[in-house]
Amino acid sequence: MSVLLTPRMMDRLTRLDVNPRRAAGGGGAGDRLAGMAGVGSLFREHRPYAPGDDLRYVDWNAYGRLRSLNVKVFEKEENLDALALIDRSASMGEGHGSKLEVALRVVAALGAVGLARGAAARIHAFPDVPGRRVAVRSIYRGRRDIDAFIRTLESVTGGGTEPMGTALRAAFPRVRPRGMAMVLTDFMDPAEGAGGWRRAIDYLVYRRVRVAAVHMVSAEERDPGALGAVRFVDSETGEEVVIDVDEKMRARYRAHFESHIREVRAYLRAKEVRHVVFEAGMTEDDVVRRLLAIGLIK
Amino acid sequence: MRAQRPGFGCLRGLARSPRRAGRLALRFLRPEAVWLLLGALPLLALHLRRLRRRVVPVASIHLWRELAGAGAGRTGFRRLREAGALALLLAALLALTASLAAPVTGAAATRARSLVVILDASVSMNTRDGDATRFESGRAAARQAVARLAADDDVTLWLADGGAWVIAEPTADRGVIARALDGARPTLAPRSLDRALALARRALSLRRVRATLLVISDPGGAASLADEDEIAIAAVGDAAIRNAAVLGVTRTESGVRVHLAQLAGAPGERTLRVTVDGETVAELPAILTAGRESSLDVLVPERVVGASGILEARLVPPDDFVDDDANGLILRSAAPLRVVVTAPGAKVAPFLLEALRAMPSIVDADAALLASPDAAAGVLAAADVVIAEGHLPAALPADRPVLAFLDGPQSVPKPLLWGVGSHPVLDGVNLAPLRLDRALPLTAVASEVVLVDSASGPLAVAGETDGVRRVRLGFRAAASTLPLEPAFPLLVLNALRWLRSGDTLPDAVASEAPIRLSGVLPEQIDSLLMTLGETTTRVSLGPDRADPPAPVPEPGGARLLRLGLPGGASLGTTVVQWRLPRGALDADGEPRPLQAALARLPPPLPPDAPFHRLAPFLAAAAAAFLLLGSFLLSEREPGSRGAGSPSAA
Repeated sequence: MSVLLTPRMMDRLTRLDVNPRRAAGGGGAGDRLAGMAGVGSLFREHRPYAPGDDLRYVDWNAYGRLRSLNVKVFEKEENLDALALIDRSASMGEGHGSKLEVALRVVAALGAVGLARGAAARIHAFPDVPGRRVAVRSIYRGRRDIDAFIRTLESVTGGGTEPMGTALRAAFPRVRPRGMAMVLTDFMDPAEGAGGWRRAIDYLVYRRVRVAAVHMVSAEERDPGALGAVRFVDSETGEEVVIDVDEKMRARYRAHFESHIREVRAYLRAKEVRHVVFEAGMTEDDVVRRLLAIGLIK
Repeated sequence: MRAQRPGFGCLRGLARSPRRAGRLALRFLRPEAVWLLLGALPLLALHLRRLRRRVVPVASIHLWRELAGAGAGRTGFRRLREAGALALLLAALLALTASLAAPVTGAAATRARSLVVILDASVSMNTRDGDATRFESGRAAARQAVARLAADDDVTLWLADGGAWVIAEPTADRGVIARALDGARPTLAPRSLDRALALARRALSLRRVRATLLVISDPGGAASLADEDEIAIAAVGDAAIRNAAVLGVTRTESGVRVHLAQLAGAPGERTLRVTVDGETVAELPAILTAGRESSLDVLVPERVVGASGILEARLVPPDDFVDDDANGLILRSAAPLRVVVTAPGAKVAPFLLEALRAMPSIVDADAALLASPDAAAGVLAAADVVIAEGHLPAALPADRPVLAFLDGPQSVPKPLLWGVGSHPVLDGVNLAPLRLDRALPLTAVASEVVLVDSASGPLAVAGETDGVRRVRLGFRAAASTLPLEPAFPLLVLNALRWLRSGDTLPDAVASEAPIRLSGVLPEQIDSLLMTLGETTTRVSLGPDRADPPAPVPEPGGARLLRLGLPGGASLGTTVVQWRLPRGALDADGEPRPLQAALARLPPPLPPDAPFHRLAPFLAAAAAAFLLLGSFLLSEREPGSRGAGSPSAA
């Protein structure tokens, strides 16, 4: 794997910040809103007093004006703890310019920004590839773990053939309820059945995990060109299909692929999962520019 | 003509024929259509190219499969379909080829269309019936039989002499057959039709071909195959032949003895005519008994017997087989030699003169001239042989044979080495007690044989240079104990005989019998030139220097045999008397006309012969295969449409 981020880019990223809608999954008190009431410094709302409420939170000024007991509710503040679920199946490719490289570069950029801000990050590359096991820590936390985090990402290699839904089962124990996860995949598994990507997304949503999906596509997938009579070989299953890709078939395929992306987006949107698309072959500048553009970092 | 032994290579060639016996009766009228099968090569090439379509790895093919249909990814089924299409196209090509080859079944296809001709080339086929010999008549009969066949029918030619030879392997090329027949010659070997027939049948069984066997022989040969019912036999020539032969001629004291035999038929009125160099010297009635041999002593005038020339004994008039009517031998001159003896001061040693007088049949001692070494060339040229003592005469003619006792300046230590009987000059001579005072070591040239050798070098040599024989002794008789030995006159006698004859060969040799040459050839000579008529062959003597066999003359050909050394020296001339095999000519037998034999050959295929044409059925099958194959190739994948469908690819 090539260098995911150059030192120049690392220096630049440490001056940025992640921009989640809410902090999630960090557990302990932090500097990010947890999106729920709790111990914090940011006032959220008033609610009528109920027996058992801590009298310290009764707003006595309001009582003086309204002659009714109301307690102040504060926004809970937590650290950001995100889990990156990286698809390293054979369809993601391997090496320079592959979808896997760009996916790792996205995770590296986001991780560098978040860790520099004290957030915690975890990595899970799926599916498991015999002989290519990735040595990951259980968690990376803070600026001091940035290098280890990047090195771990650089050690990820591709080649797995297990369907996404099946492969993600191994990661489910590590998914913290109400946590945050980012799935980076090409959604090229057939969406039907237990092994499909829909089942994996459904489970994460069920665990009330806030999921963001990074959809990796390549230029060849969008437009294969007029290849003529060729034999397509599935990189994961080895299955073949012989097709004469002329201009007509090429146009049909392009339309079919765009509809596939729309289908993925529509499904994820229905599950309140954010869907962003990254192209294979993007450089680190392209990745950071894209992350800034879609607002994942600021 | 002996083209090829009927070995396994020949049999392998025979086995290549496509026609098999005992199988479905089927034959092709146009077998050249098989070349159309080469069309399978482009079909296979296209199939392989199709299989090797450019491979493009993709992340997932499910999107493509959704476009192309569910069946597009089923490579196993697709390959099966493509293989099926290829098989159908190949079957279509095969059926089309078979259709164009015009296969037929039925009576026309079941007939044997191979002809095996066994042509008798034994000695009896040399018999002349009218203008042509029987072999020539048999050759014409073979041509006639071949002409009756269809153009694609194959012919095998066997020649049966003492053995059996394939002179034309199975071929439909009539040019090959004609050339083989033109090159075939009769031989002097006895008849062996049974062997040839057995070999031909064995070849046919290996080839698995049902063929017609045609044996062409003379009436005797045809009679020997009377029990063979499955073969066609053609007998050429008259049934009753008469043949008497001169089996050999040998010398007697008063003339020659002629060995005669009536080999076939009843003896007729024959005359034995003896000629020498074409001049008739005797003529007398030949006494012949049917099936018996006899000898006839012929008195020949002494002047003729003593002269040199070629004597021929011939039975006249000629009979059916003229080549054995004559035989002959070489006459060597028996007149006493005229010698000139040279010695310093013309003082010839008396023991030498006494020795010459002791051999009056060899040397006319009374007419011998005594001369000094500086005698005039005219004196020396008048002699048949020059005997020189001391040193050679200065004016010695180059073409005179010489027996020289050369003066030796040095003493020679024992041991002396000699070979008793190894050369005609030393025949019966024992030189063991010989002592020499002085001697002159000689230098032997390539064509000379060393008679007496010593540590200092050869002391006596004999040889022939440029056709002139010379015997040189490196010592004078007076300077040795040689005159005291009983071997001395024998040595001189042998030397003069050898110098006189100019020929080491016998008067006549039998064909294939060894020619005795031992002792007269120099050690370094390993081959001989043997000239029979116009044909010269080089005969290797081999490591054991065995006597070479006399060649077998062609019937009616030359019989004068000349032997020489590779350097050009002549060893002499003789006559080859070829030995006629006893009982070779058997005239008993019924005439078998050629037409009767040819009637057993399969007639040419008539245009309306009852057979079934399979071509229409095969053509229909080819079309069906082609349609099915094309359908499999053009079948569209489910869900695919237009030019972009996988199947259209």
